Amino acid sequence: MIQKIFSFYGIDFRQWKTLTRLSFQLANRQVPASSFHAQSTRTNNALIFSLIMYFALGLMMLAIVFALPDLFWSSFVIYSYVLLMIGFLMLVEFGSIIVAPDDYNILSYQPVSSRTYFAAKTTFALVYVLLYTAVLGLPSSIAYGFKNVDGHTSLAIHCTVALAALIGFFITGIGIALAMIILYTSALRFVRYRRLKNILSYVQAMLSFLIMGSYALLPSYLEKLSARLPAQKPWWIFLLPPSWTSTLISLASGTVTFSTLAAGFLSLAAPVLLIPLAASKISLSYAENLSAALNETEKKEKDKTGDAKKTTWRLKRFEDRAIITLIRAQFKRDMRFRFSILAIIPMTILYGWMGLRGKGAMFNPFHPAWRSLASSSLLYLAIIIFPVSLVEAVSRSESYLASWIFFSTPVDKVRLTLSIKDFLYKFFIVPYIVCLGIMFSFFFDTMLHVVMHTAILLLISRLFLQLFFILRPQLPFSLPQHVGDRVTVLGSLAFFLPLIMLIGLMILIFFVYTNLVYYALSFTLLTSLTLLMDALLNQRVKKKMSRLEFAG
Amino acid sequence: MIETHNLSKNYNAKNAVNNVTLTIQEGEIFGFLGANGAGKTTTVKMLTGMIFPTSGSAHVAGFDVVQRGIEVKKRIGYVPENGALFESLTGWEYLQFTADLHHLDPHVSLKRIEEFLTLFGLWDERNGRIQQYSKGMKQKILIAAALIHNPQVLFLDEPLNGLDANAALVFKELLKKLSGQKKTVFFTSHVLDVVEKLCTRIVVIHEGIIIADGTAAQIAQSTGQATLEEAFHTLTGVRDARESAQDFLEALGRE
Repeated sequence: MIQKIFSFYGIDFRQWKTLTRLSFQLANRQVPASSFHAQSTRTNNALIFSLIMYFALGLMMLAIVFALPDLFWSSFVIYSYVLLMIGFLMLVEFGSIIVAPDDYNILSYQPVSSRTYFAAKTTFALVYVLLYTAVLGLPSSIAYGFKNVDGHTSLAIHCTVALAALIGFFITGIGIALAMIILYTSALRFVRYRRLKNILSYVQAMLSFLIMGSYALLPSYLEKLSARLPAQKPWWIFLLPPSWTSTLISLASGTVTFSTLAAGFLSLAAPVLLIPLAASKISLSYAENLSAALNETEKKEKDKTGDAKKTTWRLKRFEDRAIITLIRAQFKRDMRFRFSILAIIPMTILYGWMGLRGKGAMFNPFHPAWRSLASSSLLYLAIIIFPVSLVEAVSRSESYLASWIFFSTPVDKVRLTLSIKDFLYKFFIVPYIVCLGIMFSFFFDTMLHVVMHTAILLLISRLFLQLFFILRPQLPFSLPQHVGDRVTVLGSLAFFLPLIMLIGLMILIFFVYTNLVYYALSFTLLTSLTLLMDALLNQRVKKKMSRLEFAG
Repeated sequence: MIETHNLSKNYNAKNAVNNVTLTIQEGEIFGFLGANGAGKTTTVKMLTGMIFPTSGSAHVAGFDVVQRGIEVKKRIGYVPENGALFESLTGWEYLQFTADLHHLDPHVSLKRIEEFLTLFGLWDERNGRIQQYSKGMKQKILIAAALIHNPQVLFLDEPLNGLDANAALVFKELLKKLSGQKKTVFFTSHVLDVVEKLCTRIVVIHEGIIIADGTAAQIAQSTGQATLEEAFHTLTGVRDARESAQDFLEALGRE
C-alpha cells in the first residue's frame, strides 16, 4: 500500500528507505578521528546531549506558561522562542540535515530521482525537527493541560488545550524549518556559498546571544511583562506567525472568534503553502549547484591567495611561525574556529551586563556586595570557559587529516604544541583579560585594585590554560570536527567549573584581597605555580608526543 | 553502447568540452586520454548524467543521458576520480547502500558483497569505518560499488589510484574478462602504459577537442613516434619535457 502511494508520487520506495536510513546513520555517527581515536561505529553522544539541552530549555519555558496568565500571550512568547530555537538549529545544521555538497558527488551517478532524494531528505529533516520540537515543547504542552483555562474544570478541555499546544509546537517547528530551507537556498542565489557560511556564523553568534540573553533575563521581566500585556490583542500581532499557532490554544479553550479562526487556519495553511516552495529547493540538481558553487569559490579563493603577498613574521622558531600562519588562516577561513573564538564576545557582554543590572554595580571582590555575586559570577565563569573553548577550537578542524605534515617533517612536535598554548595566551587570553580590566576600572574604587585583580586573573587563566593542555595535549587542528563537540566538553565540565569558580572567588575575597602581604604571597604562589605547570606541561607533552602516531 | 554527437559543455566563456562525437561499441575497452583540464572528467560526468551538456547529445546503453538519465544510471557503474564516499559508513554498509539503490535482490546483494569483500581482501575490515581505510581500500570499495549491480557499461576515472600491484593486476584482468562478456569499459587514466596494454581503442582529448582516435599503435604511427607516451606528449605537450625538468633543477639550485 505504502509502496503504491510512493510510486504514485514518483518516489522509489526502496531508495527512499535506503536514503532515509543513510541520513540517520550519518547524523548519528561520529566520524572517527585519525589515529588518535580510531574506533568502529558508535552513536553520537553530542546529539543526545544536545537533545537533553533542548529539553532543559523546554523546562525553563514552563516559567512563561505559569507566569503569564493569558493563554494567548504565554503561548505567543513560547512559540516565538521555539521559532528562534528551531530556526537557529536549522541554520547551524543545514549542511547535514538538508542538502550537503557531498551528496551530489556520491549520489549523482546513482539511479536516484530528485523526487526520491527530496522525499528522503524531507523525511529526515521532519523527524529531526520534530524530535527537537518535541523535547522543547513537551514540558510546556503538559503544563498547558494543568493551567487554569478561564475557570474550566473539564478534563476534556484541559487535554484538548495540551494537545493543541503540542500541535502548535509541531506546526511552528515544521513551518520554520521549511522557511529556513527556502531562505537559505534563495540566499545562495545572491551570495556565494562560503560567504553565506561566514555571514551565518555571525548570525548564529547574534542569535545565540539573543537566545541566551533572553533566557537569562526573561524570568525577572516576566512579572512586569504580565502587567503590561494588553487583554485586547493589537491587530499587528496577527501579522506575526507565532500568533497564528497561539490561537490554536485559544480555540481549544473555547475562544472562537473570527480572528482566532482565521489565524488558526493560517497556522495550518502556512506550512502547507511552504512545502512546494521548499520542494523545489531540495533536489540533487540543487546539490549540484551547491557543489559547483563551493568549487568555484574555492578556486577563486585559491587564486586570491596566490596573488597575496606573504606576511613575514619575525619569529625565531619555525614552530611559532607555523602556528601563527595556521591560526591566522583558520581564523580567516574556518567558520567554526572563528565562531568558537568570537563567541566569547557576546557571552562577555551578556554576563557583564547581567552583572551590572540590579543595583547597577559589578561585583567588586575587594568590597564584596553579595547580592551582585550571583550575576557577576557568570563573568568569572566565562574567564574559565574561554581557555577550554580555545583549546578545543585549536584542536579541531575540517582539514584535520592535513596534520600528516607534522609527522612527515622534522618539526618539533613538543615545541609546536607548546607554541599553541603561548599563542593562545598572548594573542587571545591576555587581550581579553585586559579588556575586562578596563571594564573593572569603571566599577572598582581604585586603579590599584583593577591592576591587582587583572594580574591575578591573568595568572589564573594561564593556570587553566596549562591545565587543559596537560589534560589534552594535541597537535593543532588534528582532530575532526563534530556537531556539538565543544558543547559536550563544556557541558561535561559544567558541574565542576562553577564550583571551582566559587571556591576561587571565596579564596580571593577572604584571603588574597584582605591585605597587601597576602596578595603578594598569593601572587608569588600563583606565579610559581604557573612556572611549575610549565615544567609539568613540558614533560607531559614530551611523553604524549613521543607516542603519537599518524594513522589518518 | 555509447554514442555522442557534438557533445559540448561550457563553463561561463570556457569550452570544457567542444563538439565531441564518439561511437563506442559493445565489449570495447575504450581509453580516454588527455592532460589535466583537457575535458576528460567533464565528458565522463556528462555521460554518467552527473552534469548536463550545454549542447549536443549523448546516448548510453540506448538511452539519452538527459531525457532518460535514471535508465542510464541503472545500467552503468562509475568509479569517480574524486573517490567521494560516505565515510562514516562501514565498507559493508556502503556496498549494501549501493546495492539497495540499484534494487538488487537482498539475497543476491548479500552474497555479492561477501564475495567482493573477500576477493578484494577487505573481509576483515568490513565493519570498520571507511574513514579508517587506506586510499587503496577506499578505491576497492568504489570499484566494488561500481560493479555490484553488474552494469553494462563501466566508467572508470583513474580506477587504479591507490591500488597495490596485485589488486591492479587482478582488476585489469577483470576488465578484460568483462569486455569478453560484451560489457563496455570507458577507461580514463594518466598511466599511459596501462592504457596502451589494456585498451582496444584510444581517444586523446586536448582543450575539449578530440585530436586522436585509434589503437595505441595507430596513434603512435600517426605522430611519427615509437610509443603512446611519446605520441601523447607530441599531441598535448606544451613544452619540451627535458627543458621543463632542467628548469626545475635550476630552481632547486637557487638560494
